[in-house]
Amino acid sequence: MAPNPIRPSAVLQGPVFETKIEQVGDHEMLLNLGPQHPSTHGVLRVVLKLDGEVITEAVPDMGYLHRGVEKLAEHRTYPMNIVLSDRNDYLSAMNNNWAFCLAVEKLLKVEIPLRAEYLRVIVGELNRVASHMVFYGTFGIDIGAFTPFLHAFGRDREEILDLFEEMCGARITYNYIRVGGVMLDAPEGWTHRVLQFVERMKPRLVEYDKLLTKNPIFIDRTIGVGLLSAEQAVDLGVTGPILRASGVSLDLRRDHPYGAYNDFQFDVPLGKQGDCYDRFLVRRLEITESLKIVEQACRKFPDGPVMGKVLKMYRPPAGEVYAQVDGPRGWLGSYIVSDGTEKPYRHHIRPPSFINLQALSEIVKGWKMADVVAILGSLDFVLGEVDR
Amino acid sequence: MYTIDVIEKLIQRFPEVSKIPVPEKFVRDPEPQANVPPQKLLEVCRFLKSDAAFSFDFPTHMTAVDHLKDGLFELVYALYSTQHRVGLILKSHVSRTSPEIDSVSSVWKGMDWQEREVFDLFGIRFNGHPNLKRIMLWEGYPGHPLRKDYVHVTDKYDSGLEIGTPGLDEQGLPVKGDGHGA
Amino acid sequence: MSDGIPPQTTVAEYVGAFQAKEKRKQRSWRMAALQLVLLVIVGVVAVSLIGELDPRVRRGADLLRSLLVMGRAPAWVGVSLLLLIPALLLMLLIQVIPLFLVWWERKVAAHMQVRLGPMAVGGFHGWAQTIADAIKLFLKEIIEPDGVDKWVFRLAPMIVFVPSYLAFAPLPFGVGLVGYSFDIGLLYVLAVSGLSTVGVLMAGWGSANKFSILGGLRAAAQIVSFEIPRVLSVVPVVMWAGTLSLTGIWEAQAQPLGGWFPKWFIFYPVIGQISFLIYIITSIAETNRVPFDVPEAESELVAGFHTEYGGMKFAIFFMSEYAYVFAGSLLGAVLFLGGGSPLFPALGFIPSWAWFLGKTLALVFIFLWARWTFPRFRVDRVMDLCWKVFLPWTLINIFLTGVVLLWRGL
Repeated sequence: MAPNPIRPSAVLQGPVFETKIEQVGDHEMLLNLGPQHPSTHGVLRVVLKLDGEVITEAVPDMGYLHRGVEKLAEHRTYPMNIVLSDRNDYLSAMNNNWAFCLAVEKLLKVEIPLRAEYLRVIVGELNRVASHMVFYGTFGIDIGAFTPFLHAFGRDREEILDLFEEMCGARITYNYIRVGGVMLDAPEGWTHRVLQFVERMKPRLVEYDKLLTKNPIFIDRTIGVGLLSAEQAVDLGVTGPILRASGVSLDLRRDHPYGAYNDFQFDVPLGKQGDCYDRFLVRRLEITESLKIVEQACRKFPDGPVMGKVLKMYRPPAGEVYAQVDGPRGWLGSYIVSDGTEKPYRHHIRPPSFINLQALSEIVKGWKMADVVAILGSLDFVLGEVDR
Repeated sequence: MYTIDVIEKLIQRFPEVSKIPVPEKFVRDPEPQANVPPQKLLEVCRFLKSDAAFSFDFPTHMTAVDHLKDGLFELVYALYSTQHRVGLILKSHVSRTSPEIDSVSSVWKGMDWQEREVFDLFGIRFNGHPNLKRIMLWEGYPGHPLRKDYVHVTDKYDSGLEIGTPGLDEQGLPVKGDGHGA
Repeated sequence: MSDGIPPQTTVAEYVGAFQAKEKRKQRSWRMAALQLVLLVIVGVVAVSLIGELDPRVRRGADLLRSLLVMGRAPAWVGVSLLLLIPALLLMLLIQVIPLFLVWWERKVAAHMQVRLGPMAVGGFHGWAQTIADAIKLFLKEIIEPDGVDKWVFRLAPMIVFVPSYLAFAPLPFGVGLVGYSFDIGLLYVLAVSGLSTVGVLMAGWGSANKFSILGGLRAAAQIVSFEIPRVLSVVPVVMWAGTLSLTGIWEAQAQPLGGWFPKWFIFYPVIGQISFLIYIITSIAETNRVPFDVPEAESELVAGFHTEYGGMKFAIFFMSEYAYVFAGSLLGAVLFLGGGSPLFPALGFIPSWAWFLGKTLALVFIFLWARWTFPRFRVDRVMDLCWKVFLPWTLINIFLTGVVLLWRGL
């Protein structure tokens, strides 16, 4: 039976789909963990060179979600840019807003009222909890456990999003943290409901541990898999939970505090060897720490205005500034070059997921097909940030 | 996170590096910036990483800014030292007509993709980069979008509603009677 | 938002109305529990009123034979009809069982995942959901990608499906309700189940898709390896019952000990429990279900060996997987849970087919429960588990059974 050749008309006209890996040995095969795949979190293509089940080379290919955010920023005023920044890391939009606003506030020399700072911390940390819950659920699905996703994402994260909806009217892209403070004050009884949520989460976190953290199959799949040493991590510029899982204790909230983080007591969980289980555990423990911070902030909540003295159409003086926050994925920064007009001359986003993704080709060599998915899940990147 | 002494010590070692004055309008944490001539960049970076007094082992980020009026591309490198917990920003200028500079990906691996992104969006070539190819856009894309003088070539992915394409007037509203995909 | 709460003016009032509605729902949980108890009682009464089906089947067969004799039909017509009708009835059963099992799986999964599952199609808790899904699968376009090995691709679903149907032949559904009772029924069922592996390999290879090939390879490794502990785990049952015939094994467990304690094999100290555990786990592995679903690992291989199959062809794979789950549970019920014999003789008014159904569904529930609780193993760890854990334990088990039987015989 003659083999069936693929008809060339089946291939699209236009840019050629490059294979990205040139040398393929006799017993090796190229596999596209394609742009459409249940486990690449978003549209990411990873070209794998496989020898049976073992990976010998992996090249990520991104750009499917490139929307030209940095070019768009130059044609939009500063408040419009806050709306745009929500869409970078759409799972933790509050932190994106915060990074941009920190940078502009440096240029504008505006004082932020304490109540606004506390509100920023509360929503920033709640958003971190929500983002880590998505990680918990999707990591479970990658490993094959379908149920924790619905507990974390479907039940608990919905409660956080309901709180946010009450507060600012949106569930995912908030546009809440503005230059000079926050957009709206918390509605009556909101902090009370947040505290109730934190109380409800305590037994649920125990449940999460029973389902995944202490599950022998899960531990077997993730311990020792995908090691990233501390030197490699620092050299690659990896930040956030991945860096802390590799043993490097660096957290912007504690070491170079911004906002009101000086007022709160919290620990920074640290991993030992930088395997998938450590990355998972660091994020799982960060949920507990964030809930601690939220509880402290809600109890100490000061009164006052929520917006500083800022013009409606502000024109920051000419200059350059770089400000960063420690988001759930790493150091999220905004580098703004202003030329005195109401639109920035250049806005560059320091994308933690993009820089963390560089680690993929290092970590994945020598592991099996099933581990690639676990490693991709444990890196927890968001394509909106990788591609911008 | 930032201190001026780092730059002072750097200038002592490399006199070609100059300090960019810090404007007084900043509230807190002004980032001191040092200007490095492009030929010296690789040497300065290697020194900053290996020398024990500096040990800038962490590449925070790198980007480029297009100054059309001055005819320059400004490259910005932000570094951090995990040991001493200080940050530093280095700047370097290359001309717009022949934008080329040494790659620092041999010093910090984390600069690898960021340099590719700058190459992709600005067109600055990095000598010595192991794999200088476009990263966000596809091979064969005409032009470098983040340049200030970039003009978009209409391709099959356009819907006809983008600002600047025929079919839209100066304010970006569709011209009446034009059937461009609207 | 249509959440049944009338529009309120302040947030506090809304919260109050919401909490009142939650309280009302709690009272209705008690109603639901009461409804469940009533349903069970009604079910038991109805089932006992229907009684044993065996006498009616015999009467039907006698009627048919007498009709044929009256019509002076040649002998081969009678013989073939008496073989054909049970075969067709089993075929019908295999079409209908997945309908129920899929619905039940979705409900079980949903309730474990803090949600409700199908609720709309057909009215009461979406009982007709699978019928709607089956119609959808019928009507879908069957896409055959370029480059597939045509006949390999087309025959693979058939080769996976036919053994799942054949495996039901010697399985009893009640007293006298057997498709065709053989002396080597157990061996036949276990042997025929293994034939589907060829079909899975064909599907993987013929699909011209690297994900499918990986899925097919993994399937071959896993299914063939797990055959061994599965077969060895039922050897103690055979040794104890002294026969390979399924009806014989069932009858050996029918007489309760001391007049009241059920003589089911699962209650046999140590040996019964080890055999049962290993049998259930290896059956889950044989049917490619989580935690052993590496051949069709959804998050890694998109859909493994059945990636390129859509529409009716996928429906056939799907149906045969649920048929195997049911067959594996039915076999487990016969071998370990005493088949159609009641738990206590006092409950003997419930007919044997109801006991069969209940025990089988209990084992099916274990299959479903495991799927939605555990993550999946990596393929090399699956192999480790099979060869380094299950195989030695089955061999130890056989040895222990031998020792016990010898000692009892002495």
